[in-house]
Amino acid sequence: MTGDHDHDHDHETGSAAAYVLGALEPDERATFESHLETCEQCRQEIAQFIPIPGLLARARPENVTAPIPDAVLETAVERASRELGALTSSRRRWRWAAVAAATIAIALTGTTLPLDDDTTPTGAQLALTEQATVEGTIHIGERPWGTAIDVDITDLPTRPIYRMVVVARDGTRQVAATWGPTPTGAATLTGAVALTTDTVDHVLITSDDPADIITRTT
Amino acid sequence: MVESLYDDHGPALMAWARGRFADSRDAEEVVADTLVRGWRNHHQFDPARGSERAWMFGIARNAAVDHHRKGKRHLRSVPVGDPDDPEPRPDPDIERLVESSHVRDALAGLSRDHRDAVVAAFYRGLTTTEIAEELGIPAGTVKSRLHYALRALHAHLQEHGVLR
Repeated sequence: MTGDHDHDHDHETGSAAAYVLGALEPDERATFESHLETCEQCRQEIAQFIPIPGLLARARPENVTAPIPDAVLETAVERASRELGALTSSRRRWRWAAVAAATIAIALTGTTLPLDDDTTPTGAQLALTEQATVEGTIHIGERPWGTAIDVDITDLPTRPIYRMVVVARDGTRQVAATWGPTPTGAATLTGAVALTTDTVDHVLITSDDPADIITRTT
Repeated sequence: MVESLYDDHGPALMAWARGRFADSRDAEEVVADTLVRGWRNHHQFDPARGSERAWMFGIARNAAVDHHRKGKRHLRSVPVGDPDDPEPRPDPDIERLVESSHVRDALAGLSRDHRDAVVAAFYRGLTTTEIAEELGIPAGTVKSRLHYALRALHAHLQEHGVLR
């Protein structure tokens, strides 16, 4: 009978755990093994615990409770909010540009942004630097509200996110557009900044990492 | 969102990164980068293809490779995988990584007494009698701690799908 058997139990709670962890003394182990032959409860505990040593062996315990420096979360949150800010302000510029030009279709996540004839830019074609593997054109155009940058490029290396960054002569930077990878690595789109065209020094295409300059104009 | 990824996976990612980079600043940088990338691309996470933990580890490995490429030379070993592939793929190594990260989480979740007992018995190879002597407590108490510790580990690992 199970109930009577439990009363007779000569095991201590934890013998099965100590057994699977290999922590019993040799004589205890021999006693426990003979006890196992008659104790269903202990056999069940062993069956439950038996996979654990193998898993423990894969996880070295060091650093289990080592605290994570606050800087890790702070850095991540700060970068994320900065990115969110850049994205939001870029969206705002898009909206504003749309209102100003009236005919520009909004396609923040798309890859094409057709321009009406009325808004065909009258500006300078910027040459891409020679070392860039990316091909295509970046064209800046003067607008009543600032500067539009038309990008038509191919062979972008894969990145999770691209940014068009306009660098002014005084060194300040503005994100003119962000977009995600396209199947072909090509991108045709128009970005916008409130800078006047004559203050634009050059245009960069970067990934989310500002130091990762994929291509730039000369 | 960054905070919840941090709460759920930060300790596991940190433990992994600390094992991977000799310099703790590199490990911290990679974890921060992983959290931001996870946050940014979370719409790409598909629970049907695996756990969020596994997805985050895929990102972490790419982040580690990118960090290494940036010119840091503290990496202890160069992880496999195509660093240009922005979409982490299921990978047997990651499965093991995820399992061991859940084991670390489970250990970290134990009470101090219970964790110390498991570490002494399993990782240091001490017997219950030796542990009892070291701590000045009865051997029966050590066994009881091991019992409840393994029960808690089992429950945690079951909850996270590592054990059935």
